[in-house]
Amino acid sequence: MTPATRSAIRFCLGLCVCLALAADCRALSQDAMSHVLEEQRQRIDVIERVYPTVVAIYGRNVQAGGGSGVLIDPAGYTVPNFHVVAGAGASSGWAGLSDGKLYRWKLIGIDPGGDLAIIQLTGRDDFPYAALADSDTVRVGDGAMAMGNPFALAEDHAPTVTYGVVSGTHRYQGGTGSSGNMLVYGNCIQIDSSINPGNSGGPLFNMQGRVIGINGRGSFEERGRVNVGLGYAISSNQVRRFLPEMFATKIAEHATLDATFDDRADGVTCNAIDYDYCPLVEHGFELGDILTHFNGVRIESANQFLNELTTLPPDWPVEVRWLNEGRPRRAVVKLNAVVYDESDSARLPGQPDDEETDIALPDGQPGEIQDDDLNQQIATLMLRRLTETSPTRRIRLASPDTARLEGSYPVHGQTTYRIRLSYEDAQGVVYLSDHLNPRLLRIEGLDALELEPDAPEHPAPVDRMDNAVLSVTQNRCVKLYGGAIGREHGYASGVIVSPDGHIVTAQGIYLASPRLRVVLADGSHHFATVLRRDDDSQLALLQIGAPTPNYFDLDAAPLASVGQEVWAVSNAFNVAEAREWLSVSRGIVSLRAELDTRKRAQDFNINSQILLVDAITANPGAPGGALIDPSGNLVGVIGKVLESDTTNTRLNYAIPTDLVARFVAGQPTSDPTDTAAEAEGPGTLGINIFRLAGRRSPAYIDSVAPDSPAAAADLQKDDLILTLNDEWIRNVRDYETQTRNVLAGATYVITIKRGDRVLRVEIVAAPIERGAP
Amino acid sequence: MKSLRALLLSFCFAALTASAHPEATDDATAQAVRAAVDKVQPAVVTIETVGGIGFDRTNEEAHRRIAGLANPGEGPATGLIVDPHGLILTSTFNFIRKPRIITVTLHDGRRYVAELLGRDDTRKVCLLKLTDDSLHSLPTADIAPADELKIGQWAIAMGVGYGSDTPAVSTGIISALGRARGRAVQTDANLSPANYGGPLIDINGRVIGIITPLNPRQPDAPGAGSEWYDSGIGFAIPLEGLDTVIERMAEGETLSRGLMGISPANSNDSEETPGVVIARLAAGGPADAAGLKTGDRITHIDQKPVASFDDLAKALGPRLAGDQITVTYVRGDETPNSVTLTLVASAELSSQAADEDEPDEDTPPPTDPDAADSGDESSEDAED
Repeated sequence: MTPATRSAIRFCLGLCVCLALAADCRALSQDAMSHVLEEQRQRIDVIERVYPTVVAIYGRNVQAGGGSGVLIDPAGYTVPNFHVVAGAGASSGWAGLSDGKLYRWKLIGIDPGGDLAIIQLTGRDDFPYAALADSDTVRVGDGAMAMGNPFALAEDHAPTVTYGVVSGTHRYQGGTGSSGNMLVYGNCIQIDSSINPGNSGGPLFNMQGRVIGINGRGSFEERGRVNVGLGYAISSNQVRRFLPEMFATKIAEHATLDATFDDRADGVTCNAIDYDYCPLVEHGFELGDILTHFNGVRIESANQFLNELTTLPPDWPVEVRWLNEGRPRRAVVKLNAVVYDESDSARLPGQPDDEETDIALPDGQPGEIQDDDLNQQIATLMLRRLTETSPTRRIRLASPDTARLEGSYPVHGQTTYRIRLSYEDAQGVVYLSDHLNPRLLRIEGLDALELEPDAPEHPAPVDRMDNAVLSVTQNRCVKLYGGAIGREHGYASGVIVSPDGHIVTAQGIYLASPRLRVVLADGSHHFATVLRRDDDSQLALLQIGAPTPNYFDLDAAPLASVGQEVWAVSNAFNVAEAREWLSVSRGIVSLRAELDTRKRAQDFNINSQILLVDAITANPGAPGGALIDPSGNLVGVIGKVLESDTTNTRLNYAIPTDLVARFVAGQPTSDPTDTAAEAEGPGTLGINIFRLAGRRSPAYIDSVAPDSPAAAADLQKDDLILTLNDEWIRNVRDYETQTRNVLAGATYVITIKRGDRVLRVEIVAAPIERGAP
Repeated sequence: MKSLRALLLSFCFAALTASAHPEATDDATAQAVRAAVDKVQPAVVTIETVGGIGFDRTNEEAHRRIAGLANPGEGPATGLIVDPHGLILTSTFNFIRKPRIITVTLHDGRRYVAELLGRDDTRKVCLLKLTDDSLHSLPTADIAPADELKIGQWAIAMGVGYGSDTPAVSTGIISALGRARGRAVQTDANLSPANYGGPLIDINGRVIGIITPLNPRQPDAPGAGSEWYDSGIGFAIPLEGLDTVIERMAEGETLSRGLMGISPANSNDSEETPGVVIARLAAGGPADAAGLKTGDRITHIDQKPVASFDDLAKALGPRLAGDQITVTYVRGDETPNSVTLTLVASAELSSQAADEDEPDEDTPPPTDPDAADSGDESSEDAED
C-alpha cells in the first residue's frame, strides 16, 4: 500500500468519524433552543394580553360555581352560553375577573336555540375586552387556547388556560330539550384543547389572541363529564350573527325548514316533513326527495344542511333546490321560527326588569318599522317601552338625538355595527347587522362617521398544521360502520395500506356485522370483507372492492422517538359523517414499550410493543385511526380501547407501523417467548413460600430445600421475594404464577429484601428428582 | 490513486447515509423536550411496594372515602430525589394502600429499601428515605424559581407508572398559578397514576413541582382528583418554598389543614361592614379556647385585613395544623381585640361545627358547577 493510499484511507476514516459525530450532534443547538424559547415567550405574551377579558360567571352564590364568559365591549357586554345564565337561575348574579374582583352582571338577551347569551358587567365603563376573529379563516390544526373556570377551580377568579389544536371545523352537534332544538351547535369548531364543566361560555382564542369561538359542549362517555379530548365551540361568526338579535329582541330566534334529512347512498334525502308547516310542500316537495342546494350552498351531507340552517333567523328567504324523482326543482321560501317546547321554556331565565335597562324608552305605538324602503335600504326605527309581558318582547328604536357608530365587525362583506344612541335623558348601545335582517341596513345620519381602527396585530407563534399534509392523510383514512351490541360501539376508523382496497383497523364488535361498510374520503360507501385478524396486536385486515390510489406506504414509515410530535386522525365519537374530515388532535410520543394491558374484567395481553401517546386516543370510534408525524408518515395505527392494569386508567396508544407492516405481510407481530436455552424438563428452585397468611400476602420464603439451587445461593427464611426475572412479585399468587413452569437448566434472576437490604441472585433450576415431593 | 481515493470517499458517504435510520421529522421543540427530560431523569426513581390493604368494590366504606379512581392500580409509582442523602418526594396517592414494604429503584438500576417518614395531606405529598446510610451523592434536579413561572409556558410530566425503565413523557402548558389556596400549579399536560409523584418540569429541565392528584373541593379524600386523570386538569406542588414542609415530614409529622374551629356567616355582599362574622364555634376548638364568641366579627388575620369569607379562606387556606395565627376581632361596639391561637387538624374538632371552607355535611358539595351538555348520543351518566 502506497503512502498516498494510506493517507487516502486515513482521510476517509477521519471524514467518516467527523460526519458520524456531526450526525450524533443532532442534539439541540443554541439556535434551535432560542427558537423554542421565543415561541414559548410569544405564547405567554398573547395569554397575558387577553387574560383580563375572561370572566368567571356565577349566580347569586359565588360558592356554588358557574361558568365562564368573555368581555367584548368596554361597557361590560359579555358573551357566555345561554345554559350558563340559565344555570344561574336568575337574570343577575356575580362575575369575577382576573383582578380578583367581583362585579354584578345583568341579563341583556338570550339565544336558547344557539346557546348564546349577552350579559352586562357593571361598575366600570372601561372593562378590558377581546376582539372577535373571523372564524371562517380557522383551519384544522390551528393552535387554539380555551380559557374559563372548569370545576370552579378559580378561587381568585383567575381563569384556567388550556392549549391544543382545532380538531374539526363546520362540525354539527345536535340539540337537546324535548324537541332537540335547544343548544344546537351548528357550524361549530371542534377542539382538543381541554374543556370541562365550568368552561362553558368561555372564549376560544386563536394564537393571535382573538376570539374564534365560545366553548360550550364536549363529547363524554363512560367516564362522565370529564374531558376526553373532544370539545365544541360556537364559532365567532355565529356569535356575530345573533348579537344584534339578542340586543334588539331579548330572545333571539332560529329558523326551521320543518323537514329533516339523512345521508343515504343517493344523497341527502328527506326522511320527515311537517306537512302543516313546511313551506316547500306547496312547491311539490315530498318524502324521499334529495336536497342539492340550500341558501346558495351546495349541500353534500345532512350535517352541512343543518350547519347552514343554524345560522339563519326566522322569516329569512332562502332558495332551495332539490331532486324529485330525478327532476330538479327549485323554490324560494321563508323559513319559520323554531318553537321551544313549554317544558323547555321553564329553563329560560327570568326576564330582566324594566328598571335595569339602560336605554330610556319613550312611549310610542308598537308596530312595524316605519319608512321601510327596501329599494333605498334605509329604515327609520321606532323605539318602544317594554310594557307587554309576552314572551317575545321587541325593542324598536326611535330616531335618536345623536347616533354614533362606535365600531364594526366586518365579515366577508357583511358587517355588524355597534351604535351608541343618545336621547335627551339617556343613552344606550345597540348592535345592528346588515347580514341578519335585510330591512335594518342603515341608520340615517351615519354615513360620514369614522370607524374605529382595528387592533394592531401582535407577533404570535406560527401554530398551524400543514393542511396539505392533513388533506393527503384524510384521503388515506376511512370511516367504518358495522354492528353494535350494548355498550360496544358499531363504528371505528381505518387506514388504507394498498392501492387495492386493503384497510387496516383494530378489532372490535363492528367486524362481526355482515354489512360492514367503509366510507372513503370522497363520501362513497363500500362493503368490506375481513381477510385476516391477529390476536397479538388485535389488528384486522379488510378489503373493499374498489381501487384506492391514496394509501399509506408502510415500508416508508419512520421509527418514532419519545417526545416527537404526532397527530392522531380518527373518527372518535363518530363526529364526522360522509365526506367530513376525521377529527385531528395533536400530542407527542410518550413511550415505546411492551406492556401488559387489560380489557376491563377480562385478562387480555397485547403481546407487542406499543407506542404510548399523550393525545387522547382511547375513545369510541378512534381505534383503527392513523397516527402520523408532521410530514404525513404513518407512525402507528390507533389500537382498540384498553385499560392498563398497572394504573387502572385508559391507555392512549398505537401499534407501531413496523408491526402493522409485518401483520399485513402475514408475519407474526410478536417475538416468540423465550424458551430456556437448555430446558431439560420440569425443574425446581428449592424455595418454599410461606402460605399460611394467604395467597394475597407478600411472598416470604418459609424454608429453603437443602442442596437446592436456592440453598446454594444462600437464600434464607424470611427473605422477601421482590422480583423474578424482572416481574414484580406482589404476593404469593404472583409468585405461583411466575413459577408454574420452572424448567430445569433455566436461569432465574431473583431480587429479595433481607432486612433493610435488597439483594440480587441468579440461580439455575435443578431437575426434579423422581420420587421427590 | 485518485480513483482509489474517490472510490473510498464515495464508499464512506454511501455507508454513512445507508446506516442512518429513516428518522421521523424532528423539530426543535421535540429535541428540547427530550433534552429537558434527559436532564432530570437521573433524579427520578421507581417506587414499588408490597403488602397493604387490598381493595374490592364490595368494600363500600373504603370505596367512598377514597374518591377518585375507584380502584388505584397496583403498578409502580414515581418519585423524585430531593436530597443527595436519599430523601425522596412522592405523592400520597401511591400509598393509599398503606403498604408495609417499600423499595426504590434508582435511574442506574440500584434498588434499595425505603421507609415512609412523613406526609403532608394538604398537598398530597409524602417523604421517603432510603434505609441505606451510605448514600451521600445521589443526583438531584434543578428547581424552577416559583416567581418565574408563567401561564402558557411548557410543562412536561415524567412518570414510570407503566413499569418502564425510561419515563413516559407528556406535555402541556401551565394553566394557572396559585390553585388550591396557593399550594399548587395547574397544568393541562396528561397527569395520571402513570406520573403521580413524579416531576413536572419546564423546557429548560428544571422541576416546577411534584405531580399529585388534587380536587380542592374534596381536600380530605386521599384519592380525590384522580378522577380527572388525562382530562387536561392536573396539579403539581412547587418544590420552591417546600423546605419547611420537607423538614417537618422528615421528622415524621403528618401535616394536615389547620382549622380555627369556627363556622363563618357566608356573605359576599361587600356593602356590609367588612369582616367575617362568626356564626358558630366548635366547642373546645382553638377559637373557643381563645375566648372568641358567636357574633364576633373577625377583621384581620396576622395583621392582614380580612374583608370577606373569601379573604378568610385565602388567609387560612395554606395554614397547617400546629401553625399559630393572630386573630383581630370586634365584638359589638367594643374596641378591636387580638388573640393568638394554634390551629388544629379537623379530626380534633368536635363534630358539631362545620369546617371553615367546606359546606355542611348535609348539603352535598357542588359536583357539577356547570353543565356542558354532551354532544354524543352514547354518553352515559357520570360514575361516582
